[in-house]
Amino acid sequence: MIVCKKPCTVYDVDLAGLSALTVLGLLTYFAVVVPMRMHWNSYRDLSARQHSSETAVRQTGNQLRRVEADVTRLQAAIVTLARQAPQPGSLPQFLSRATVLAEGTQLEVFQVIPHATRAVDECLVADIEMSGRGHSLDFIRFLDALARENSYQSLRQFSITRREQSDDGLCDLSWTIRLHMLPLDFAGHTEGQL
Amino acid sequence: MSASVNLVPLDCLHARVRSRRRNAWTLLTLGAGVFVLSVWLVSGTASNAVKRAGQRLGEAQTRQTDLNRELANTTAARAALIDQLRLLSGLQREQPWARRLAVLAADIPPGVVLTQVTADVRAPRSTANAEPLAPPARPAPAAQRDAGAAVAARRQSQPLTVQLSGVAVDHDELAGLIETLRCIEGWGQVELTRAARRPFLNGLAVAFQLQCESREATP
Repeated sequence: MIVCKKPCTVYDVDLAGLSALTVLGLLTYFAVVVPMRMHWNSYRDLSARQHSSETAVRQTGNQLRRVEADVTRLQAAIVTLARQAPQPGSLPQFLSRATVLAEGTQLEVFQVIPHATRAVDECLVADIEMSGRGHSLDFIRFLDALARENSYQSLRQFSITRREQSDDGLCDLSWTIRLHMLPLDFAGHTEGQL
Repeated sequence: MSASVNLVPLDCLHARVRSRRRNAWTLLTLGAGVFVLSVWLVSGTASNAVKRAGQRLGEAQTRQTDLNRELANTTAARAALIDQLRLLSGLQREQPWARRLAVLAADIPPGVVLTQVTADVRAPRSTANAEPLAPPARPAPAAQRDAGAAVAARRQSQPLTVQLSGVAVDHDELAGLIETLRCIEGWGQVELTRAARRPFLNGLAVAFQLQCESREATP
């Protein structure tokens, strides 16, 4: 069937073919192009997020490795320091050592009074009162020897009194040393160890 | 010269042209259909690619969450270790007294005799409120950090009081002693609390009492 003759002859099959192609074009646009465009946008978005996420993972991994290295170093330092530091039960040993040092520097020790161990500022301390007699320079030597041997003690009080009636330079001495010890719960210590 | 006459009827001619066009349109439509179908099938793989990208993103996010958790735990462990290290370092004390007394003994003016030297740490509030030995309870890391800072602050602000008594030949010698004490590291404040002439041996001497204070670490 001829639909129109001028300017060119158009048959009914031409109209049908054009209609079929138009339908096919519309179908292609809505069924293929639009979803493809959506997929492409999603893919681009996901790829960008994945890239940034992987970068973040790498950075976090590096940070974690640094912190782990810090932890390893700290653990090693703590083990070393904890081995050197006085333990809660080391007061008798310190008393004995302080007395030996005092006698080794020509001081005559009359009295040693250890006080009860107590907790101060998260660590344990024990005060030791000592009294004796000797030359002031020997007392300085004793303090020096004690400081060199044990840096975990501090001098809380001392008194050097020169005797009035003495020509030999002897002094009455009294001093209090505080020993600083690890707390009971440090590095797995238990209460029963003191 | 020749003459030709087309004897095929016009309807037959139109029918032939129409038939050719129908075949052409059919082929074209079929070709386009096949093309669209193949593109549609390919778009299915694009959907799979998006799905795979989503899965990879999910895995990366899960890994990130795990790493963040691990990092938080490790950081907390590091903070606890730093507190322990601070505690351990805090146990060690400066030992200035042997050096100070040695300097004092070496630099004391020749006309001065010290009869008594006493030093005492004024009891700070923390010591006065020292807790009795109680069952240990590990405080939270933040509290430990605060406590560590407080301990450091208290250690630095503990005042020492040193008293020196003795006799000097005259006031110049006494002034020399005060100057010597001021030069000793850590004894910034030197105060003369008492000075009086009194008989000494066969003459007169200046009996004095000095008080020094410093604000440094525990002796």
